[in-house]
Amino acid sequence: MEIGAIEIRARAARPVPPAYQHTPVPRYPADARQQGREGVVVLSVLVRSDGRVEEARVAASSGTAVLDEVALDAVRKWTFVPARQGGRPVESVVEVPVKFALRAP
Amino acid sequence: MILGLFLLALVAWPGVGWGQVAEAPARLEPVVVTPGRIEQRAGEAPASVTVITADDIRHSANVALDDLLRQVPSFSLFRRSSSLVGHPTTQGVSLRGIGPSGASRALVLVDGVPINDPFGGWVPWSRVPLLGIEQIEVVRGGGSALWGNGALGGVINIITRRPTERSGALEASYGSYDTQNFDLFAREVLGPFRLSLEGNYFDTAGYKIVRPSQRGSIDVPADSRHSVFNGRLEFAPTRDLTLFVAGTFFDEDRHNGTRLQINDTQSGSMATGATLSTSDGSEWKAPVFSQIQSFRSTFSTQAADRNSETLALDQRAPSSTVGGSFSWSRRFGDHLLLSGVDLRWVEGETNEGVFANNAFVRNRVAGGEQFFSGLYLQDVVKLGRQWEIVGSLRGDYWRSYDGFRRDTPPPAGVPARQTFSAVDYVIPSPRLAVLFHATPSTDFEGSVYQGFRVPTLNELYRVFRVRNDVTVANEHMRPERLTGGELTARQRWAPFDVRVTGFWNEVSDQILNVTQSRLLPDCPAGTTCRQRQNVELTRIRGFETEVEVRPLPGWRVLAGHIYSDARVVEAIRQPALEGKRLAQVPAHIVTLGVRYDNPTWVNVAANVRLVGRQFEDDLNTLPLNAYTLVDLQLSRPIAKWGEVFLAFENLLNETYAIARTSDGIVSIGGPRLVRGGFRVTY
Repeated sequence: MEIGAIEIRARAARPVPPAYQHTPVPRYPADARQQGREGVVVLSVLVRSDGRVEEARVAASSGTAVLDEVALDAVRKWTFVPARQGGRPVESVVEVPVKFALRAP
Repeated sequence: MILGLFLLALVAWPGVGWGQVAEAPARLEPVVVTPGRIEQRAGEAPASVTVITADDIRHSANVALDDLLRQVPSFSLFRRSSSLVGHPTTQGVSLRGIGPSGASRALVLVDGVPINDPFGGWVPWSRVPLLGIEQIEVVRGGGSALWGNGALGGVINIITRRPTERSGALEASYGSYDTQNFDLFAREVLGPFRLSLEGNYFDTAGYKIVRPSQRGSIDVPADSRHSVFNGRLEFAPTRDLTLFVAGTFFDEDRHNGTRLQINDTQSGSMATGATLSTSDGSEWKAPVFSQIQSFRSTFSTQAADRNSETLALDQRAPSSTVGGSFSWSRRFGDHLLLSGVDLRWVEGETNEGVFANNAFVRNRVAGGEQFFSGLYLQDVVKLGRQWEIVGSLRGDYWRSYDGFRRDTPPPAGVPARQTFSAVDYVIPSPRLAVLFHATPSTDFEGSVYQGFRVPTLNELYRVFRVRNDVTVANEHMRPERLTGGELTARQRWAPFDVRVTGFWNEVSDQILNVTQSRLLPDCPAGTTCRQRQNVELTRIRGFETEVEVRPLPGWRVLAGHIYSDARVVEAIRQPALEGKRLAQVPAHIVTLGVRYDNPTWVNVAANVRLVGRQFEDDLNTLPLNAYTLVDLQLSRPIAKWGEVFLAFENLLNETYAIARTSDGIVSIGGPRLVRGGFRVTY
């Protein structure tokens, strides 16, 4: 898109956002499964320059506490390809949506 | 929290603070979590669980619940035959080959209520229509510490769809052998009331179950027909309280392969109860249930050329049961406590006419009552992020009483009236399990447990017959006791998820059908005579492996294998059995399931099952050869509300033996079954 291109050029110094590296998916919590709970939880994750997770929090709840917790627990153990700024790994904040769906899409 | 994270970012890395990326942070692609096939019950109790979801069921070629469950390699019934043609009394489930017979060595629960037949312990699979199932969990290893009697091999937990919204679904199919299945499911929500209704009608003309080369004029197709009606009404006046009442009516008629051999079952059951969450974080559950059932089955004596048969037995077995439970669970910091009480009462009898050469010989009535009660406590402790420990202890009291038998007129050597003295036992069932999350993608689990199963009224009192092989009852049997343990390693390594479990179970006083060298009074002349007996010690050990791979979007591969070495170790009265393999347990079962989902074109689901050689009998003289079955389902969505499908069971039309009697007659499993149908949802 035009605007996007302009934006990127204008902020050439912005870090390249991080990417997923090792992201083992959590188990669907049995209770939530039995009660038919689904939803998307968006996590805000502070990724260190070595790709590990320093801290994560819920930015938007799925509406079910146990799903939020399970997603948080999982994301804390993930590793990322760290964000880069000028070719150097830097820490960054990224939003990670985790979608709990009882049926495969 | 937000501030904390903010400060942390500023303090720990002052060079690149939160402030410098103050624009909305980048958002990555969503990660989708769906229930995997290989599951642990994290935070509940580590155990080997395999999950089959509503989605898996929809994509399965199988029309019968037991055939669907055979995708799990450790699942097996007493015989290889499907419940579509099998005699109901052979539909007992065992997990990992722990003592298969008509009586189940695992408990099957529908929404927490056991459905194992109260009289005989087998499972009425056709009573659970597939459309209404949300999910099935197959939990192996030591279920008695929570569930008591019968759960020694584990638990199969069927969860039906909750009435959470207005919706409905209809599935209809028709196929070979005039096989038709209609399943209708509807849910409605009106304020605090939630209702679900389901009706299922199934009918098949069946096939001739005797091997073609041995058939005679008496052989007719083994047909079956059943209707099920399920209703459930929930009332949820507040978020924390739900009251429910549910009922099931079931009616089934079958022919068993000859004109004179039929069986039918009618049952009605009711359940009601409440679930309550209180402000201290406790959850309370209190369901009660009852069932009334009638069961009739006839058996014939068949000539060697299979051109004539005469009625041998006409049995009626009415039974009734009432049960209830009360449970409480609450989290205390790192502990999750669960405690409860179960009560159950069962009454039943077999009332049979014995015939020989078309003439009435005698009437035999035998039965009794049983009472069970159990008390259990479980604690799940989380120690840091890596360790989880579960300790459970259950105590059961079992009493069998008012046992009787009347023979009119009695056979030689049997008194006309007998009453059996009551027996009672107090049985403890402990379990200890440890789960270690070694790394985010590697887990280890270990557990040790004890479990038990008491003889059913059927085993104590009812005689059964497969052609000229007669198995007689034994009113003096003791409970089976299992002591076992297992070790599991699980590794997730995208896109692979692998779990390997080694298990070792020893069962004392296992009830087996033991061939007798002399005819007992209940075995007519010219028959092979077996009797149910406690055998001192059997050992079932082996390992199971499950692999789940999601190599590309839309693809899923599941592979499973079980090796089960199931043998009699000690049989004091029948030393010939020592070292012999348990009847009906193959050493190897391999399963492979491949799914490809492409809703815009076609969804494909194929399942392959290889079952190794096994023996029909305790003495290992009647082998049943290995076989391979392939099931395939093709489906294609139509608009948002529909789907058409084509299902093939036994696609390659493999002929395989499911039973071999001592006179050499072989029964065969189902030939290719092709069904086409549609599903509509709203």
